[in-house]
Amino acid sequence: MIKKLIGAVVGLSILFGVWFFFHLLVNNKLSIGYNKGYQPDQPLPFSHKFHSGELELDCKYCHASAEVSRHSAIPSLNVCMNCHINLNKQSKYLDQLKEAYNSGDSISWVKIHMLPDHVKFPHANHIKAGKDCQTCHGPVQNMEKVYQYSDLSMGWCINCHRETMESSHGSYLKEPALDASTNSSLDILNPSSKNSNISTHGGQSGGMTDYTESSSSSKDEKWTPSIINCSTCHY
Amino acid sequence: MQKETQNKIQSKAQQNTSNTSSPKYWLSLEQWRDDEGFKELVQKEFLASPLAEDNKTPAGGWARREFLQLMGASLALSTFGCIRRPVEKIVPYVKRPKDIIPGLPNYYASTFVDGVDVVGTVVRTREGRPIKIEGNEFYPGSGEALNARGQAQVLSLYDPDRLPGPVQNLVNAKRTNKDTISTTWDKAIAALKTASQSGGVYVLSSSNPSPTSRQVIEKYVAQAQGEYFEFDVLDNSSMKKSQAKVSGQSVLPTYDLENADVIVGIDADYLGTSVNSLAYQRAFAKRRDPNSKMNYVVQFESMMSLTGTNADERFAIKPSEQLAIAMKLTQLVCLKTNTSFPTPWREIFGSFTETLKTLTFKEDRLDKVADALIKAKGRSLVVSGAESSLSQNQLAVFEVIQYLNGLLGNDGKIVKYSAGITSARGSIEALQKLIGLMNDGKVKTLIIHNSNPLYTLPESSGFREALSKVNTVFYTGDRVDETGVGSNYIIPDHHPLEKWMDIEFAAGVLSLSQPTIQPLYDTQAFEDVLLKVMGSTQNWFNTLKSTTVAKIGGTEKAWTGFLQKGVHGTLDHSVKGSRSYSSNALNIKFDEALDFELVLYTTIGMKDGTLSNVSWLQEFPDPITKICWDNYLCLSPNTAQKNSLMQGDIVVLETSTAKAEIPIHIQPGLNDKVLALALGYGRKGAGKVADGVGVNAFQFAVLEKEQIVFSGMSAKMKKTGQHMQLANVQGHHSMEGRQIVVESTFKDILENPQSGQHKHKVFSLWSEHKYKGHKWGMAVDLSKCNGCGACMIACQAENNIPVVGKRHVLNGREMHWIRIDRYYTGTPENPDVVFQPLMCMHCDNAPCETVCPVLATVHSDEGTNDMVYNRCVGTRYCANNCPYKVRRFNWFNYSKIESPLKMVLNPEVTVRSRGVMEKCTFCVQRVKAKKTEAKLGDRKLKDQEIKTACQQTCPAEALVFGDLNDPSSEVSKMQRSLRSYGLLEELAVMPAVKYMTKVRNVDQLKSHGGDHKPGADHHNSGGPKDEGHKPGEALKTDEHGHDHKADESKTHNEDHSHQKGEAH
Repeated sequence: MIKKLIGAVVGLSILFGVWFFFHLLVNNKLSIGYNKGYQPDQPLPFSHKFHSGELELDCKYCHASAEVSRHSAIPSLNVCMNCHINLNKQSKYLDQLKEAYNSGDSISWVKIHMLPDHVKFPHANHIKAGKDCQTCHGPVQNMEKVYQYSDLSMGWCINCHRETMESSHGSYLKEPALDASTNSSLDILNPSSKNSNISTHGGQSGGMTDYTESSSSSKDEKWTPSIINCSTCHY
Repeated sequence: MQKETQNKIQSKAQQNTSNTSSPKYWLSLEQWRDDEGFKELVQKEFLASPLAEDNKTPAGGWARREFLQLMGASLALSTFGCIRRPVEKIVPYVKRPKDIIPGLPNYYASTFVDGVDVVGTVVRTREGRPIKIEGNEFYPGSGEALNARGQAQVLSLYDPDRLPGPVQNLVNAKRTNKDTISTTWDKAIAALKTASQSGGVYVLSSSNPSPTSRQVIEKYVAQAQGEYFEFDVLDNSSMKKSQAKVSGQSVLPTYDLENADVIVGIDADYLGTSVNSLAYQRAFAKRRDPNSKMNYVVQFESMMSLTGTNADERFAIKPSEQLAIAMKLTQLVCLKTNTSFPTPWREIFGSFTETLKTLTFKEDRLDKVADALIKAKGRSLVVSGAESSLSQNQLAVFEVIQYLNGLLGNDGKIVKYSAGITSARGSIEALQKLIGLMNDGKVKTLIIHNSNPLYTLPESSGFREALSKVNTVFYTGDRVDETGVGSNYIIPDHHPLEKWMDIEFAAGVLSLSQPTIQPLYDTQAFEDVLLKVMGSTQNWFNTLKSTTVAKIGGTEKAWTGFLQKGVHGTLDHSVKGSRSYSSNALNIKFDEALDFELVLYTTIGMKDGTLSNVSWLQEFPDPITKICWDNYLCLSPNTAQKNSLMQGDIVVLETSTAKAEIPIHIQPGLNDKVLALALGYGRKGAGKVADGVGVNAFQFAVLEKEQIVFSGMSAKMKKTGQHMQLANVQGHHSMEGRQIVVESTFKDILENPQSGQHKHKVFSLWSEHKYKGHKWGMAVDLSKCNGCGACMIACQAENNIPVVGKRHVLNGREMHWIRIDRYYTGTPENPDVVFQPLMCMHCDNAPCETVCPVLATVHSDEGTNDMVYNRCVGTRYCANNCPYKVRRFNWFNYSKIESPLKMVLNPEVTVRSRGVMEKCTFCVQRVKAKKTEAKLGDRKLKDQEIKTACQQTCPAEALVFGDLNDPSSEVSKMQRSLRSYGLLEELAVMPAVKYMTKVRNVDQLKSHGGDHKPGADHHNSGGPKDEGHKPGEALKTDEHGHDHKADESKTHNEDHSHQKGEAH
């Protein structure tokens, strides 16, 4: 009897443990597999706090490709040398930089923001939409040593897109039927909104963007194209 | 058993005229004759099951289930283990080249030189790596089109079997005993220098289209007291010679197919492997659109070629009949136009009376062809020139054909001699002269450049013997292949993508090939080597630049413009008038009592075998036979039956000069006396991919004094009793007699654009999707598609599609996202052929989406069917439920490829790993790239701005992609056309890809005995009857082809509705 009771208690507590684990996981209280807070040592202790915070250099001075390309690339060494070739400040790290520049053996920085290979994140579109770098990367201007500010999980991406309107598409969508500039709400994109219904069509939809009759009847022409299809990031 | 099958064939053949049970469209002979084995095959979903492999598990090995259990346990363990991801490094440029922005492609204009053929290309590079080659829109004629080999050239750059640097063969006096050691460029160049000083240095190359390169070589051989010879094994010189004999002008003409109303080909392959074929394909397709005036195409041919399969009338002949047919046509044209038949030809023509009586078709069919030619005088064309036309009487055939063109007034109008192809420079006489010089001991040193004579020349040519008399042989090839083994030094030239070249295709058309990557290996441009040997102060680039700049205007700005555009000048069509044509005495001979006539032909994938170590091309199924990874002896079904041969049986093929063991392929539409074998296979030393694949057909060619003979050789065939499996990609894609390809005649389509179509009543249980932004779709014009398969390789390059190898193709595991299905109609003796490109249809009611248990394949709000690789667990339910069988499964880790091959991967497309399903994505990465471009540029997307890889490269412009929500887009217009229909639209899956009826310019289509006749009322077998509809009567449908009248009753039952709607 006692044995059975102990067995039941152990069993239940294991069940509870498992439930609690997933509960935390689902509610973003616990994250596994994400590198949030990852702050590795870099080969040179480049200080974003100094360059970006104190000198107030624009992020895009160094990370220029963010405006035009998918990647916000680490600057090539000649960008560093634009200034440092004229600065006489003595430091062993600057010597290392200059040596790397002169020898042609570049510096191997440690990658902090790592998206899986099957995710394509376009920096350019986000910059174009007026997003600040800090929204995702955090207060880099205060970071002596950069760490990963956001967890960069899929849920994190989607949450932001649910809360944020795509408002700065420029004239890409300025057609009478789908004028995004007049649209300032995102309730269609939000499944919990009263305006959206569960789709009844045959195929399975990407999940975020089932439009049904009610969505168009709610606020005429206040539709904005979703950017949350699976193929938006996975292809 | 075999006898039984044969009897069946016979009875089938007899039945066939009144054909009742044979399917209208048949994929393979097994299907046509209702083979038991085939029936069994179509019942199977997959050709091979993993469970079958269980049985073969060796004792002591892990059984599959056991393995899965262990996998499950280790997965559970790993979940609780370490979760820190591996550390990755970012190494930025030291000095970033200012044109390279990480993540964005760069495009460089270049040129693809394919033997004599030349096509302008654009090379896409990413971070300094060429990853894809596309056609150059500025190039005259071909534009953005590029063929399979042009697309595949990029992979040959990263070929791991390329030599890392120069090597030296240590040989004995007889050139037999070899040991290959590596050497240095200094040593090799010093050796060449010493040789040059003692004189007698000869250079042999294929046609060299680069004027500057020729200059350098000429200068060098003059200094080294030698001579420069150019020859092409795929020879065009007979065509030039025939022009010279008939009109006095030695020129390889171009043809204006866009204005030709009637085209008669006698073993011509202008759509397949002939020179300038891309431009011809493009022009030809424009005239296959029933909205224009359709051309009438007739083809007499001995092997089924791409051109023949696209002809309205096709006649199976044998090579010895070519001249008879050409002469008969001339005689008929003379007769009907009251001109006298050329006197010197009368006697020969008289001797053809018997030949003309034994043709496989009635002689009066020629009468009809002659009538058509005369009716289109000045706008018709008689053409020949494929390898299969190079019989021993090739010159006579070409002469008669040129004369006939003159007679019909096509010269200067359709036959454009002022725009002659100057890149065709080789001649057989040059080769013969060189062999003579080598035998005389005059050649002390031979440099072989851009040519592989020990592979392409038959043993009977005596080249190998002659070569043994040469002291030193230098070879500029990039591997120790057939010629490499026979050389003392191999001094590898750059790959064309690493090298500067100026290329002249036709007079006045100059294009440029520029390096798109630093040389991967220790190679040197051949011209640079010669300049160094000559002690010149100039290097190759400076020489090329200065001569080229002088030609294009002399300024630096002109040079920059040339670099950007890649092409200068255009085809000169200025001379309109015709030349005077004369007939000369013909020199012909015929062998007596031929058992079989052997035809050697080139395929669109392999051509002369230069690119045979490119795995994409080896796995590229031949457009007609649909077989990959082999060459085979094609013979007619009757011949196979007579000799008791089955598909894949190995025979000994013997001619007077060579002998080989080859598996057979039973090819419908061949003359019973013809055996056909593809060139370009049977390489030795070409690399891991090509070696041991097929047999070398060049050994059967005969080198004569002034010509090389590829067809009409007398041949014998003997059964060996051995058997070999040929990797055919099609037998297992049966569509079971449904409305797959709709065909109609030009006459009918003008009366009723929907003729040939059978509209189904469709209804759907699902509510419709709403597409408020874009709705991507595609239209495929089957009338234009000629089946060349360029799209397949373009897709493979764009989407990182792996190659699986012959073993897996035999298991039905090939990975192509777009395939081209080929169906035959009519009888096996003389079938018509239809091609149908098939990719993911991106159905609105996609059956795959409803069955995926893990939501790995889902619908996007732009109408595409997305595949989320990282969600896929590999149940393969989706592939089971796909009515089009376009989904491909990664059975193994095909993507694990060796370096440097992986440098060709497109970083915009995820590389799929084992256990993941994949399929066409409508090139979503291209859609995304253009959308981003539009967003960043604050503008709207333009129609035709986004082109999928297949569409971009399609020489026939048969595929059109675009936004269906934009009523003015090209694709919307095409899908609204009454000629368009959805594939298996009766399943109500609502495909986003629509096909357009294939139209033939004939009076009547072949064999209407199929079970899916237009208008056939076959909806009544099961449920309540629906209203029958007349042929061609359109049902009231909305733009998606949805039937509003459709019966919503759940008991409605279609006799071939296979989609069981999953209720949600």
